[in-house]
Amino acid sequence: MKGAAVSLIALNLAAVSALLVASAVCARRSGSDRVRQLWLAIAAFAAVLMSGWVVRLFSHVPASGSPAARMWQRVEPIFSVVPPVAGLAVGVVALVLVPRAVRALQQSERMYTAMLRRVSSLPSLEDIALTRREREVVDVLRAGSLDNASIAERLGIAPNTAGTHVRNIMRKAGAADRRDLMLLGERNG
Amino acid sequence: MIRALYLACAVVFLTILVVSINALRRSRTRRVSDVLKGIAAMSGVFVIVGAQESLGPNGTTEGAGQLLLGAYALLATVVVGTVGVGGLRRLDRAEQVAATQLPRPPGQPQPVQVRLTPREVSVVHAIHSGVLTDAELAEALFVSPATAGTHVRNILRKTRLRSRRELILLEIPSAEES
Repeated sequence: MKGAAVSLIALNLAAVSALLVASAVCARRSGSDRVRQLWLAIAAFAAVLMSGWVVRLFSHVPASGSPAARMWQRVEPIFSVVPPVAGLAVGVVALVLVPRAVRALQQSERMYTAMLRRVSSLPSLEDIALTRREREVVDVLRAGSLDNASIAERLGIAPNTAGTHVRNIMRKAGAADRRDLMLLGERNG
Repeated sequence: MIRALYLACAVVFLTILVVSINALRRSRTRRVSDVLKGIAAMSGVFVIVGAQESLGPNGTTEGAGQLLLGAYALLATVVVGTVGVGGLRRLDRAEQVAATQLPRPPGQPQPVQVRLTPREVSVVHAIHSGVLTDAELAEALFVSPATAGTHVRNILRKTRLRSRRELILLEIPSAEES
């Protein structure tokens, strides 16, 4: 029974460590403040759980004998306060921030799925005969730069030329609005 | 002292659990729902740990309760690591798209209590499914493009929204209820 409990704790420690690292990396990579907030919330949850598992793991160490046990006995009163205090802090912050972030993300997702449904009737990118330059313009559009001035700046061409490229792409794809081009070739999945 | 802290912890995370389950029940967006599931699963672990440490007998380090908690916590962590994380990765793109499609950043409060005619309601439902231009609306609703445009203009005036893409976010009762 005891061996099983200890190995379960070790497994949990490994799992939350992996979660902590993964969510910290994703938080760094994320381009949206709200998504980053949720990543950080998950990372904080994982960190608190980690401290809790460490405390529980050490409580299984035999009370006397080994140097590890002696050291643990000395730091135990301080360290065992960490999980509940950190948990309380993280919980209160999450209670304030998460609902707000979730509401905004729900709006974004509804927008996104409606737009995906909208472009689902357009041909896929491979089926449209685009020139090399037009493909570059599509890449810029997909990255979220939609107006002629910023497309022109990104590609080092004149704004009017960028506009002509966009018009030609819209005609070839049968798109009614240049904002649709941002999702060209993107499918729900 | 520590017991009181754990109890407070359990109460806070029970609140988070209730809030996220409530949001989950009303959520109609798949990826946000996945994230909410992850948050709920993880809060559950904190509630159980908090309750065990604050209410349980001293030295709660043995017994079947420990094993059950360990197994559940592992499961919750894996759920968060797969479902929640998968949902969040896709939401990054959703945020990027929404930022370029809307005149205002997403997260604005939506107008409430708007009186729309049945015809206008069906226009909004069409817009919800991604039908946006006058020509497309005309085809979907069997009216002329000019009529479709008039409907959209009237809806925008009533809701005080700025673009028909913003109408995608307008929440109105479904067709059966209205």
